[in-house]
Amino acid sequence: MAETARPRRRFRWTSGLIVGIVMMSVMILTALLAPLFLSEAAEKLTPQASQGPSAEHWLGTDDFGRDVLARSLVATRLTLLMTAATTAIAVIAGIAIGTAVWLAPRRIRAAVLRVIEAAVAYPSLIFSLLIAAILGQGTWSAVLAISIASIPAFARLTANMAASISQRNYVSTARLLGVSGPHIITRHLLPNMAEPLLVLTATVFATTLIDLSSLSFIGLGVQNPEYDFGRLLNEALVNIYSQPLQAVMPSIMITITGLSAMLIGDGLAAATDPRGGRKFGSLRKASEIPASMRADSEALVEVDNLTVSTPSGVPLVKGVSLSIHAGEVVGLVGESGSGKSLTAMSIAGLLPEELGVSAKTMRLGELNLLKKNNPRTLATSIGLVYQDPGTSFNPALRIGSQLTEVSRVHLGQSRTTAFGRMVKALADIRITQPEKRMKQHPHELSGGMLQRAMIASTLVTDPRLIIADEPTTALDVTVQADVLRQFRTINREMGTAMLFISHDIGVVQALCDKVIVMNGGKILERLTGEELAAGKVKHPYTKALLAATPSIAERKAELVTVSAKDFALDEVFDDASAAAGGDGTNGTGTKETAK
Amino acid sequence: MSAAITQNQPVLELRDVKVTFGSGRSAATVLKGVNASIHAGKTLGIVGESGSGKSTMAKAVVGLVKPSDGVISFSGRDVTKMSGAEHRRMRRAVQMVPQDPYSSLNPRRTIGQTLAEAIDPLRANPKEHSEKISYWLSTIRLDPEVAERYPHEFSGGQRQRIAIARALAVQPKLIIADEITSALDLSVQAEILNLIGRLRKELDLTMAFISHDLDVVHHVSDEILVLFHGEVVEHGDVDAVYGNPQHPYTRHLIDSVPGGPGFDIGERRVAVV
Repeated sequence: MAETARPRRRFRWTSGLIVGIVMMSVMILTALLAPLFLSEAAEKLTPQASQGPSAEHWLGTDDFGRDVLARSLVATRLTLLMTAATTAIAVIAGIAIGTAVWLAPRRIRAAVLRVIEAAVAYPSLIFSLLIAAILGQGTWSAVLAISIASIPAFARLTANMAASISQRNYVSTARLLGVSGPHIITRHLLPNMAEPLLVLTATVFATTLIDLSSLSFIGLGVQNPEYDFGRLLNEALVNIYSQPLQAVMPSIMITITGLSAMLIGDGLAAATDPRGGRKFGSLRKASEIPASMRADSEALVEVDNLTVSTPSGVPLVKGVSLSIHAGEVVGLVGESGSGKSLTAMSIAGLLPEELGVSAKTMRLGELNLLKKNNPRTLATSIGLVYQDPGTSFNPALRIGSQLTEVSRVHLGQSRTTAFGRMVKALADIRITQPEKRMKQHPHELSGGMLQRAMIASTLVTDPRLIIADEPTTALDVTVQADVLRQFRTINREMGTAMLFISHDIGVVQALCDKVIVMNGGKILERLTGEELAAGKVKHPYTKALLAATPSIAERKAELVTVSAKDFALDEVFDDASAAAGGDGTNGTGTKETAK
Repeated sequence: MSAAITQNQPVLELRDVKVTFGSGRSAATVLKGVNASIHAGKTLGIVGESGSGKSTMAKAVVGLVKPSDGVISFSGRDVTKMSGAEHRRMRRAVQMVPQDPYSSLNPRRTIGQTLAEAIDPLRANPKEHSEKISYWLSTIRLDPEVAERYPHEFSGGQRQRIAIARALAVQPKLIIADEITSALDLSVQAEILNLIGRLRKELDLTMAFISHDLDVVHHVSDEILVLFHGEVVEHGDVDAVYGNPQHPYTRHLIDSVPGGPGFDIGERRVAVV
């Protein structure tokens, strides 16, 4: 049966969103009710002209004796209607053009997109002034002018989103299935851009309000006897020195409406952002758990009872102990979610701040890794090699300046010294024309060459430990063999200790002296590389992993499918001597049951 | 390599297919005259490293890329010379299972809607096609009730099975599986490979299985085709090619597989203290 992989995100109510919605509701209520009760006060001409504030007229009266407050409140209806209509036209036309462009043949698409871009580059208010001047004065010509002027921006955003969604596999698959263009838009494109479009609509609403008010203010929009906020400001301008209060109310109303639309837009954006709402938890600390027999005080790296947990307290790594001796290559194998990368990254001190790390001991030589260490010490004692050489380099900078960064920043070497040492290091791992490579940009080098350059750069600081996190996963198989050969040579000739993380059993058994099998945040089995290669494994999970691996050496009729749930994960085939003694060859199969 | 003409016609045949991107001085020829054929009920494994042209070959077969030269024929009919309408009718004859199970399913449509669209792209109503949807879901060993659910409720392996069901539901003549296990964990990969193995027997599938993983291709394929820089360097029965590779590149490729018989990365460090 299907298990829930990712629970559906719950809608997050932020305070801004609530305030925005409350404010907008008040405005809508005003728009509905004010014209019913206040029309008379707002529109009837009375002899009490140009009065100051009084109990009867809170904000005074205008030139014709009409109540300023009532006029501002009644104007809400027309203003909101105009703004809503303008936004609706802009949004609907924008979406229609934006998606239709995507359906059009390549040349037409390119041409229309250029036109839209040119239109976006032109200031929209001047554009709408131009349209309003052509259409003439009046309420609906203002609406039309502003909406036409807002279409390009919306169309461009929709086209951009459509372009990115159409890159997804489900769209190309739908085309292969023979689904028609309009169906692709309604079934696949629009539903997947609904959220950003909604957020954008709220923002467009706010800017439209300002634009409409501006048009009315300069006399191109709403004409007497009708009035909106902009028109009221226009009337107030004449008396700005004698009756300053007349300008205050419409201004406040514009601000409140605009602000509430903006708050709703921002609130929706925050609510739909899956990365929002994270809380940061505790830092690393030493735990009170007694020392386990697993750790080894003689070793170069000693990790005793490491646990890593989420801010909400869910344990991800549950008491892992391991040791790495000088000159030893230790492999961590496991499937995704096994905790292998978390274990390695907590040694490197590179876990996200919000994860809680605790351990009895975690040290590299004399360096206590549980404390906040000097970044310089960390950077020079641990060398890191990441999975994807294509993304771990900055594409804008030359290879040389990125590779020599640690030497220059942390070891304080001069540019020339660092450059010279790096060129030698590149030559050492058989990269051709090292000087030329240093001046090139990352895209000019192949993935394998980048990865080897990365390895070379970790070596120039002469680290005590190299942590390699799936360093060959993104590489082609022949290049992978090359890079593994490189690791082997470094280990043999320089005696550098390594922690090598991989999901690939074949890779691990070929390179590593010791192998640690992890699942569900726990160590299930420790064995030597030779034992793994020979298939001498004890834990049923490790056995199942081997049986699940297809091999060119033999064709298995049916692969065994592993389900972590099928195994009693508390049953740990964890040979104490394998970790402590280092030879790890006595296969007594001591069985321990962890708590 | 000459295209072997056999009595029974291959489902798919590529003859001297060339694909060139760009023109003039910046032109890059990605496929340099590729010959290949797949017979009914057989699986052709296509291996090669990045830049070898294996994905371009798949795109050319599916019609996403136009070959600059050569013939691609389905059941003897040349696709490159077909009219637009004919081509649209042919389109459903080849289906592709994409690599990434996370971007291959529309997050806003239920599994039933997704499968209904494959069954009938015009009237994709899951209620009308509920019987067929249940059938295809049971083929991939999922409960028919999952038709009501959305993709985010499924694991990567289950999504990949659904993507396979979607390709099957079209009942195509040929399925192209493009790196369908490379984004998956080992145990999930085993589950998908077992499913593919079972479907090949039950449904007599004709398939092109593209992968960079030689172990995986070895496991699923009848025949194998090795691509190198846009050229076919070796094509033949899978056991023959793996057992006795003729081309030095194939040899090099097979020897690079960790754990394989010819794999060697040098001596271990002598003493571990």
